Amino acid sequence: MDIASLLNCLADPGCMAGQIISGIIIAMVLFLVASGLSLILGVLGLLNFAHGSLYMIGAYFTYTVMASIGNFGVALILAPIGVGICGVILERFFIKRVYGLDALYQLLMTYAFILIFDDVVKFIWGIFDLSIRMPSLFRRPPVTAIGTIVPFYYLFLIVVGVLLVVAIWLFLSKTKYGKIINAAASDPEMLMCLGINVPFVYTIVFGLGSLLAGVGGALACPLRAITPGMGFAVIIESFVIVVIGGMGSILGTFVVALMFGLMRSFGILGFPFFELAFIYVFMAVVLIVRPAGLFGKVRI
Amino acid sequence: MMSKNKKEKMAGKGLTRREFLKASAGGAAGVAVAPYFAPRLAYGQKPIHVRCHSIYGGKAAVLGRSVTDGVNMWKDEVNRKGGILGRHVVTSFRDTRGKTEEAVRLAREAAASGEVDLLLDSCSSREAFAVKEVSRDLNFIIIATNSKTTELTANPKTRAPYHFRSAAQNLHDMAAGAKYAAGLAKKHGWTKWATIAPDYAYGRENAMFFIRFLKMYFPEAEILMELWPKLWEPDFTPYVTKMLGAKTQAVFTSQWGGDVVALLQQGALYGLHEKVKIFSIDLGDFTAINPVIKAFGKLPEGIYMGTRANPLTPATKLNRDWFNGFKKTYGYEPSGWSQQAYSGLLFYQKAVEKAGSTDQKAVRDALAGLEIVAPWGSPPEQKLALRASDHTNILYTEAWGKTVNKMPYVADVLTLSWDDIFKAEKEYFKEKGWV
Repeated sequence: MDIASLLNCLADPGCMAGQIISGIIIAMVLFLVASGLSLILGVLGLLNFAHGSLYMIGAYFTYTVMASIGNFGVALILAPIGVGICGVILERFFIKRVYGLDALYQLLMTYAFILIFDDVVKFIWGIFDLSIRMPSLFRRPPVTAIGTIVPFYYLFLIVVGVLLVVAIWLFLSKTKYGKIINAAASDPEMLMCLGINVPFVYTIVFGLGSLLAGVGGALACPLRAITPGMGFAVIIESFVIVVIGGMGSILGTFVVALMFGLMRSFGILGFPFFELAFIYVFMAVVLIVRPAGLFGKVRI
Repeated sequence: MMSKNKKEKMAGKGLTRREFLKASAGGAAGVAVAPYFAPRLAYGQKPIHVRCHSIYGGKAAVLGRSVTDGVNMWKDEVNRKGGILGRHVVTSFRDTRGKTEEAVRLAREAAASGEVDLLLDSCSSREAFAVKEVSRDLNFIIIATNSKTTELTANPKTRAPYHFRSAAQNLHDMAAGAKYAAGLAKKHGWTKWATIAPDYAYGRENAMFFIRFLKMYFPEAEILMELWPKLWEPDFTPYVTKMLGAKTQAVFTSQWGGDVVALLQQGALYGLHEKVKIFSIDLGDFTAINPVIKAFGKLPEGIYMGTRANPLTPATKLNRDWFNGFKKTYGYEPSGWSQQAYSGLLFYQKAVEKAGSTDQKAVRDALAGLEIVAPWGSPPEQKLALRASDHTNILYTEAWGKTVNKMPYVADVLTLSWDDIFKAEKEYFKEKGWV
């Protein structure tokens, strides 16, 4: 334990701001992945372990677009759309067959797709670690604020993350389509009686969740090596966030992703040997006290 | 029914369809079984079967592939020269998927099959300790080619008589690395240090050794923090900000593969490698160098790194030829894992020749204390040895240098002395009661 480090940092606005930014950055990419997972879990009731692989495919698509066009903005649009289409195909041909089945069947099928996707990326892109350069727009001196520095790309990540939270929330709560998705989550039979094509809604939701994973993968590209199996690194943490936040709650996912990021960035200061343990202890407590998650009752 | 003319047109020169089909089937069968019978036909003896277990999936897939190519490179060289004891060499590979239970199952299966003569365990430390017990249980030789964890072979209480290691070792790497770092730290006054290492056996052990030996060579060094991101950690930003916040002057890291790439990518946003001197034991591997170059457009200069599987370490013709031969054959640079698997096979080759057979006991007796010449053996003799007392590989080139943006990406290479390494090792063993 290094409590002195933690206290010193809390007393120093520059240090505290730096760690807060670090925590928010961890939270943003995780939120994008976890929000798609939460949507799929909340509406479709599907334990999608292959969600991390969709994030990985987003990163590989981004790499390909960058390698051929060299424009990160275009990659940021095309790669998630590509992942969304992959998600739609996956749902139409395979996933829809395990709706309503025991969680074990869902787990087996989605786990199988983790292995399949890993082999597919090895086949297409090879086994070597790939990476992309920081887009030229963001290769500029970091911004200095409150005694700390904030890299320009991190500011962009924060803005994109917040915009997406607002956009998803507006879409789900204020639009007709969002209301249909909400209805599909709570009473699909009734929705079907009203003439809505529920299987189609499910496909769209799965595609949307996949697209969000793709956004996460695309945004992570300039910061991480692109490797087969990179989805493993985010899927467990995303599940933890969704479980604590409340399955299907986008607000819960966002708040808990932020908590997760901050607990990690400050935990590293004070408890570098076991900072990860905190979040799991927290999850255990939440599951005992509030099994539906912190925002479990908040409808998406 | 096909007309006679058509039949003739199809087969050409009067060959009937029946004859054509027979010839095709015979040819196909011949092609299919030829690889199996060819060794017997060539040498009239059963081939020597080398089995290699490695990781071919997930993030370590690139390393598994580089092991396979290192093994096949050795096999082709040996077979071109007539095999071992006049016997052709065949290889086979199995994927442990990085799972200990699978590594144990495969090792047990290979040892009990009666089909495998020589076995390589080319996985990580996590699997190596469990696989060692298979060797002990079945009295079957297993050479661990990747596990660097010192305890694997150093602790006399847990040694297994048929178990060997051709991998480099954390204690040796860190004794060398810390001496190199201490020399520079003394010269430049870098007293405030941090370590950042992956949170599992390999990272824990080498950070511990680095700190121990750094303080031994440079007592003024102060360790401000020890950081332990989990293996495959995607987010290094809080670690970077913590190091910068504490005004760290120098950091040792054993992050490897994609992790060292991510650390440098995220660190670069804060100017990490300009503000803090980085000493990386694993950046020197081309599996890390290449993606770092892609991420930055060039290799950032001035990072201190351990260097292995590099034509400059050592800068001899033998090593250069091996490196270039590998690259030419497989289209990419070898990794440390390819090199260490190749070492294991060189040891096996000489031991079988010395023993005159592949009998496990005879080969084991030949392996203990065996010396070979290898491309990365310490110059000038370029010898490697499997020390008889603890069955571990010694005398490989221990070198560090500074990154430059030009192939082979390292300059100012300093090769560390094994006398110093042995001295540091002896003191540690004495303290642990392992002498």
